[in-house]
Amino acid sequence: MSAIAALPLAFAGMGLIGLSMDRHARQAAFALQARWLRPVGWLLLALSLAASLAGPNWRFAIVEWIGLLAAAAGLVVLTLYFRPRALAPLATGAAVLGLAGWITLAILQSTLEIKSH
Amino acid sequence: MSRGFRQSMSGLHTWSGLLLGWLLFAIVLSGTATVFRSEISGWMRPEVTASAPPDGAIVAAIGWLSSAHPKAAGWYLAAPDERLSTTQAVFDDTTAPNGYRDIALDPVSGSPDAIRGTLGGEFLYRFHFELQIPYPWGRLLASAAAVLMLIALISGIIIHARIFKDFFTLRPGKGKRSWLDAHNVLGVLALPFHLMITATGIVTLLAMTMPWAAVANYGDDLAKAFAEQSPGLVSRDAAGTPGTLAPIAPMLAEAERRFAGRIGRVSIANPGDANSVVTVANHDGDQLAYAASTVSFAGTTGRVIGAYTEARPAQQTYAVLYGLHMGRFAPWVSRWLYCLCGLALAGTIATGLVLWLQARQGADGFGHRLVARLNVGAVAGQPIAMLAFFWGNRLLPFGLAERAAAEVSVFFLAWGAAILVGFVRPVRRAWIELFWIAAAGAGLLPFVSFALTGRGLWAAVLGGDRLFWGFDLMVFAFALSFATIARRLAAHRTPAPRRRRNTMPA
Repeated sequence: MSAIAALPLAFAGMGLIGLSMDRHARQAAFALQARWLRPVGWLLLALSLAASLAGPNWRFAIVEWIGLLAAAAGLVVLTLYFRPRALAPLATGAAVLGLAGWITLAILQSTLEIKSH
Repeated sequence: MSRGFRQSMSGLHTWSGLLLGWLLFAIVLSGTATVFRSEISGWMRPEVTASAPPDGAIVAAIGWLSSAHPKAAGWYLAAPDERLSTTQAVFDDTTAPNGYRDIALDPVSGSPDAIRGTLGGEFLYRFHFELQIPYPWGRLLASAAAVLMLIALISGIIIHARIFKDFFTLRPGKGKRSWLDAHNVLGVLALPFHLMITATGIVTLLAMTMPWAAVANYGDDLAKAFAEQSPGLVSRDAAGTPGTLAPIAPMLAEAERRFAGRIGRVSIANPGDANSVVTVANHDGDQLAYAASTVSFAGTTGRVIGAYTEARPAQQTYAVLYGLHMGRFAPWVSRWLYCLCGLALAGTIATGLVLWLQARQGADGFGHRLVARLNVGAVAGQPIAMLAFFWGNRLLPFGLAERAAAEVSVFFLAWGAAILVGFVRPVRRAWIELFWIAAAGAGLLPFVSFALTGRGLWAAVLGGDRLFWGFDLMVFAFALSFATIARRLAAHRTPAPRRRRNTMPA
């Protein structure tokens, strides 16, 4: 279930890392050449890992996260191929969606735990 | 890095990839399909709609086996689970072509009589590492292919000078450049998966690739080596006097109590003998490690005579690596990611094979032409063979003798036919024609299947038949992809002569 949060976060992270590269920034018509793009991208990837690890079995979670990273990077490549200009808004949207999904999952989990006690 | 080193790595990459590339493509594609082995098995046995809890199904299966095959030296059963509703049974049978049977039993009646004879997903699973070649040669060949795959991956990383700069780069319509981009993107994005699946694949066949440690320590005493590797396995020689199996249900209940979980596999050695042994293992989908906890019972009394859970670190490491490769643990998101990454690896190999030719454009030697033609049958022929296997499953008559083997023949006949098309038709036409055939084969399959079985398509959506619904959707997606490839190949003009030598070796 944690993939609901982890995949958008990984996509956002990969997207920002992509946008921090000259060639893809040009492709995506992305004017903002800020130094923080790449570190924030990595931060989002780390958050995606954290969201994955929130699940019950960390061993399964790591395997799944590695696959999710590949899927997210693949989605960034497809976005740059078919709709390069959509990458910046999609990445931003995915970051928001991922964080919102994570919070929702966390709330759901804690309410379930309270009920089970 | 010195230029000479990179150059030699480039040569290594090219030749390790080409040498067994065709075989690797088949191995990777069948392995990818094996991710959905249970679902494929379920789809290929549309008669089975009943389901039963695992212990009930095992009791039913043993009931049927006791009357139909009491003389077998052993029955090896896999209990049904949430993914597959039949009991899988393997036992020796002198009337079978290769000496043993691998069949599915109805979970309620325990009998195979109402189910069409098919190997189902088991065929793709076994083909993945045995290649339908007799033991040990198939496994040795698969091992060799896996080692070459690992060499190709590592040398590929070394020669890919711009691995991070080109991470997201896929440029359209630039001939060889675009093929190289696709090859790199497919290879690099899922690189951790590719390395993991290749390395763990070698590990699963390690006893074949590197038998020396075992030979040095045990010599010819393989029985001792095996016994020490699996101390949990209780084996007793047959007494030679007949015996009756005690009721199995209490043994299963005891095993479940000890596992604090569900049962997976049950084996009965010498079932009709006074010294029969019943061994119950827990379900392999419940942990990452592909190693079971087992409990053994004396068959005639039901008394516990052994119990084992693997705790030796080296064995556990091995089991985890094995488990990573098998992916039996994988929840459904991971399962789909295994499938996607597997397709990416197949794509990396296919684009690599095409690149070998692209890098040698203008060459017209025998070798060049041979590679060009083999590429067609090996790459486009593989999905066609799998689809033919599914078509055979639906079209072969129910009562056909050795029906399961006939389905396998259909797989190889179709593959052979595709290879033949690659040799007799002009290469470009052959690619296009085969991809159209694959598209038609995939696109029509759900309709034919629905007409013959009454399961699938919209009835599945309305009736909640998730298995058929998913299978149909997947096959339609493949039909669409094949048609897209065929159309793009047809639209693609032969590229203009090279303007300059390429700086990147392929």
